[in-house]
Amino acid sequence: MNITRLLLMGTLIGPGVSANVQSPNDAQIAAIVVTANQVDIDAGHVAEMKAHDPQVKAYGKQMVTDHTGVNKQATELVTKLGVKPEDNATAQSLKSGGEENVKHLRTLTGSAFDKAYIDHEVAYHQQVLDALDKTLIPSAQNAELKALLVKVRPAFAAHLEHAKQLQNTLGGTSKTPGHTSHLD
Amino acid sequence: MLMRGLRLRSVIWALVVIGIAVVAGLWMLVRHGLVSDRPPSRLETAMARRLVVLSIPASARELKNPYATDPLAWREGAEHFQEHCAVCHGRVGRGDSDIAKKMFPPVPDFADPGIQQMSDGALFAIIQNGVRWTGMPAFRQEHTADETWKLVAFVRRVPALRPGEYPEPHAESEHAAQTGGDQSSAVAMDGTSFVPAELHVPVGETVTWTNKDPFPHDVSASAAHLHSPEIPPDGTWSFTPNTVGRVEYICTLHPGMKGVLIVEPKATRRSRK
Repeated sequence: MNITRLLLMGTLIGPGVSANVQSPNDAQIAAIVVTANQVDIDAGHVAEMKAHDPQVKAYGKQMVTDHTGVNKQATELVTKLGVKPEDNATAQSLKSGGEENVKHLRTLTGSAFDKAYIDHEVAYHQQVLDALDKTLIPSAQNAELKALLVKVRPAFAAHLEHAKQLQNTLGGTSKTPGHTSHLD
Repeated sequence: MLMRGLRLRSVIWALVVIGIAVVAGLWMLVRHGLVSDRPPSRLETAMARRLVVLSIPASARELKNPYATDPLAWREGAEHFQEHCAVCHGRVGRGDSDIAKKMFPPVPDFADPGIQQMSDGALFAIIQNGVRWTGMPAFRQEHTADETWKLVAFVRRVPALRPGEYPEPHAESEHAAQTGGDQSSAVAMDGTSFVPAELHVPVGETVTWTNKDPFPHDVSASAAHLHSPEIPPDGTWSFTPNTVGRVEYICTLHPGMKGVLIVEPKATRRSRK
């Protein structure tokens, strides 16, 4: 069940990023970045409320803090550059995937919630890192926008590692969907 | 006669100011309640400062700083300031500490003319007795009159202070004297990395971490008492290693984020750099 969901996620985001928008412009990148952060903030808020394990709760809280910080900086930069975020298929699929996830999480409680949340966080951060590496960073035209993406990338990698550690301590053996991209 | 006239005038003046303050205060209270989540208006600040000064007896206000002409007293004051005051007033008294960002009435910038216009005696009285309805406590118990006058000398010095002529936080005084106080090391927390990841420091030298990321980090080592609180964006945190050795540390929020301090014996300082 979980695996199917995660695979579904993979198909939602993966091709969306790499195929639908072959080379997004800066305005589209801005929308993707802001949406990607927002999706994780929304899930983090749910985890802050519903997580069973205190470490998972703390993780959710940190996701809210970190991604809010990144979004603040991204929004400031975009405003400074006079770029108006432009909605696009990738941003939309991120958004609907995020809403789907939150909806699913709301039906769960206790350790089932923790596991589903963390599994999703692992998959999600991996997807976003892939998107950053394969699409967003290479496509970004404006040097400052590119620099911001490069600067925040290690935080996403750290979140992924952190989520994987939690996945282990929660005793989950679930695998992340077919991803071979290595980080760092 | 002239004296009495003057005194009467200042009493009337004080009553007028107090009257206006009471009316304005009641109006503010009705409008905003007693929250302290926003800076006071300029009028409120000006009136509050005026009231603070007026509340100090004239005899105290007119006291002169015995260290006014001592060119070195401010340095001793500065060290004292580091221990007791910098946590709120900021490292060099510019009211820019992390705590100050959220404090209203605000922590003043000592370089502000409004502060520098106050007499030595008024500053002395404020440090000794505190200021009610602000975060400023009375330091009479902790500071002798002598120390307080040196603090006043420091406050006077703040507007002219140049970087480098100021002792680093927690630095020992002889260290500051030897080196002119410009020995410190900096580590940036940038892009979820410590930059530089490996830092060589002489024992006793202060290391300051500055968070350049848009989210919090911390600095933590299992040994060596190296445990910072969460350092917010643009925040800093300092640590002075007291033992020679290698200290590996991480950010517990982003565990892949690693750094090393290599604390060397003091003698090696000259050879480096």
